[in-house]
Amino acid sequence: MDDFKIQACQARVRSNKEDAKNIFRLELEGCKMGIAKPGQFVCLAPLDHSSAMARPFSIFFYDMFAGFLVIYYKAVGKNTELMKSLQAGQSIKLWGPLGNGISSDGIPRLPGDLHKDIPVPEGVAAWLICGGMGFASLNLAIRELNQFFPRSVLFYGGKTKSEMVSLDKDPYRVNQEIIVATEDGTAGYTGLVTDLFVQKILENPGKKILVITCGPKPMMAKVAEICEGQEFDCYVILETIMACGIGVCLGCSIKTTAGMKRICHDGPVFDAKEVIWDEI
Amino acid sequence: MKSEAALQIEKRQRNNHDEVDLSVEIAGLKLQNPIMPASGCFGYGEEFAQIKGFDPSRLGAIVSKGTTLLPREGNPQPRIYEHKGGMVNWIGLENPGIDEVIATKIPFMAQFGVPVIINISGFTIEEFAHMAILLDPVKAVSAIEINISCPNVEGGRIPFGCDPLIAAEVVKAVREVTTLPLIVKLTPNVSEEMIGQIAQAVEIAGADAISMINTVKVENVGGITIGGLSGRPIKQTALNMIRIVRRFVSVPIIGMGGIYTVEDVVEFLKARCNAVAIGTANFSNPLVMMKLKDGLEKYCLENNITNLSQFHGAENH
Ligand SMILES: Cc1cc2nc3c(=O)[nH]c(=O)nc-3n(C[C@H](O)[C@H](O)[C@H](O)COP(=O)(O)OP(=O)(O)OC[C@H]3O[C@@H](n4cnc5c(N)ncnc54)[C@H](O)[C@@H]3O)c2cc1C
Ligand SMILES: Cc1cc2nc3c(=O)[nH]c(=O)nc-3n(C[C@H](O)[C@H](O)[C@H](O)COP(=O)(O)O)c2cc1C
Ligand code: FES
Repeated sequence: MDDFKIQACQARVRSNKEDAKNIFRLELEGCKMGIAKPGQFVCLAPLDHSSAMARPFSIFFYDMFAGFLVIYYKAVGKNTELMKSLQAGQSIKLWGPLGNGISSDGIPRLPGDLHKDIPVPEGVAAWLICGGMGFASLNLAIRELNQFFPRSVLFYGGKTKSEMVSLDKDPYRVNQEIIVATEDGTAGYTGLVTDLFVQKILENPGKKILVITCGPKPMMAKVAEICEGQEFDCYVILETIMACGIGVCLGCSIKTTAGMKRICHDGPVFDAKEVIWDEI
Repeated sequence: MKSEAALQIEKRQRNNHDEVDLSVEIAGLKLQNPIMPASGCFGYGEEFAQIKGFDPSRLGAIVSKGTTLLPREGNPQPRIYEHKGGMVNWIGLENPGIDEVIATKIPFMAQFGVPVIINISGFTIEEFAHMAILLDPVKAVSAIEINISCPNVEGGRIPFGCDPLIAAEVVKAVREVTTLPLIVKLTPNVSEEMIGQIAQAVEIAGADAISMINTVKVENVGGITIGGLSGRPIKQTALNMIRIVRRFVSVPIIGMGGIYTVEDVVEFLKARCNAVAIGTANFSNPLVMMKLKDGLEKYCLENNITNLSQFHGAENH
């Protein structure tokens, strides 16, 4: 292994399939990158020639030995629409892994590496709470935490069943209890995933829980607020529009209680206590 | 008959002749090639140095993010927005301040063995001079780039670079306190009549080189009230203004604004720029500067260009 944290590669599409309404699962091969930590992401060179900014996507799964990468994307605009027509065998340019992820394995870090070391106290459960596309950032976290939290639970919230991916069918997801919430009641609990979270807290009085959350900002802010009230440790995986994705343009920089932080470089994983929600 | 040694020498001379000399001289600095990052699009090189295949020592120079006298947090979100094939930014000069830049950033930048250019932004003329005084004794600094696009808080917040007299005052104040080469970075947010006068004024005041253009002002785009447009949509503006400025000054020009390809680099060199800086293009391809350096070399080989000055005069006026 060499010292470069970020590698640019020309990846080949292995498959590209719609998995839920407007949400696609993209398998790529030939990606030579180092170890990817939970919360880290890659940037794709924009497919649209009039786009100036890199396009960030969370690493759902990465096998560094095979150079095999899986991302899930939702078609929301120019580039993600173009990504829909990527065919097997086509190549795309990407670079990563980017950002500071989560680690809990006690492996010494490279100097300058800021991966959030999440302590693993005895008897604590891990609950991962996601909404919308946020599940894509949490899969690696589950893999990492599963060594310590064999009973970790994934809360997966969405508007309606047809817009939610069939996570239980993904071969690269870790075997994991998944509790689903839909706003319209088409699957699982009816209501917001944050309400489901509260209900589960009430069903488990006194339980010590560590929370990692990723999803729309209001959802994460709510989760963070609940955790604060319960004195649970809470980590959030933030998103903003990014231009460079590597920490040089300062376009994603936010004010936190620990000073200015670049979401792409110092984050995207933050201790919820550091986050000032109005600054995002 | 010639000796073996003589033949060897002849062969080497012939090879040397075939090799392209990409080096250029700017403000008394010898750059190994004309490709450098644009301020604010490269940080201090720390992140780029972490990318496999990116070698800062292959650049012509490295250029810091805009530095201010005091640390600045910059503006709240949103700070960037994609627009017209380019992007708008409203970063607000977030930087750790000149003391920290001198203490930690410049030593890092210096390790690559290429000239280190420190971009400074003041809000008063005194601030510019103050920073120059602090940079003057720092051995690792090769040149100062004076960003005169920022608002003059003692002059109704009109940017220093919008008025030839005030722009000249900034340069003069800095010139008086340092012997470091001075590159003055012009804002394009002035009329075509004005840009030539501003360039001339800063040259007379002591600029050793001019860099241009900074971002183009836009209003109310993507939640940003006043921002700067960069990238592809400003290339033509940059070239137009550079051609005007070229008629007014004889100091070297570092051209920038929407450079993405080798053809763009050549276009700027033909517009009689002596070097070029790459900003926004780094974001959609972090290896673009490496690609441009290699590509320019290849272009020159294929077009029998052995020295970049051959580009000058290649454009019809
Ligand atoms: C760290 C990080 C990880 C991400 N991971 C994923 C992922 O795993 N799967 C996924 O589908 N998306 C992910 N995103 C969002 C994704 O990057 C954007 O949806 C994508 O860049 C949109 O590009 P576009 O050209 O299709 O859209 P555009 O045409 O540029 O914009 C369409 C709409 O998308 C919004 N948008 C544009 N860029 C972003 C952005 N960076 N973040 C949020 N909204 C944006 C715009 O405001 C606009 O409303 C992630 C973003 C970040 C910052
Ligand atoms: C995100 C961003 C930050 C910038 N910050 C600075 C800066 O701190 N100082 C400065 O003189 N110019 C700054 N610029 C302007 C660039 O150096 C350059 O002049 C401009 O972007 C045009 O070049 P480009 O089209 O290649 O990006 C910045 C530009 C961008 C896009
Ligand atoms: S996106 Fe450029 S610094 Fe984060």
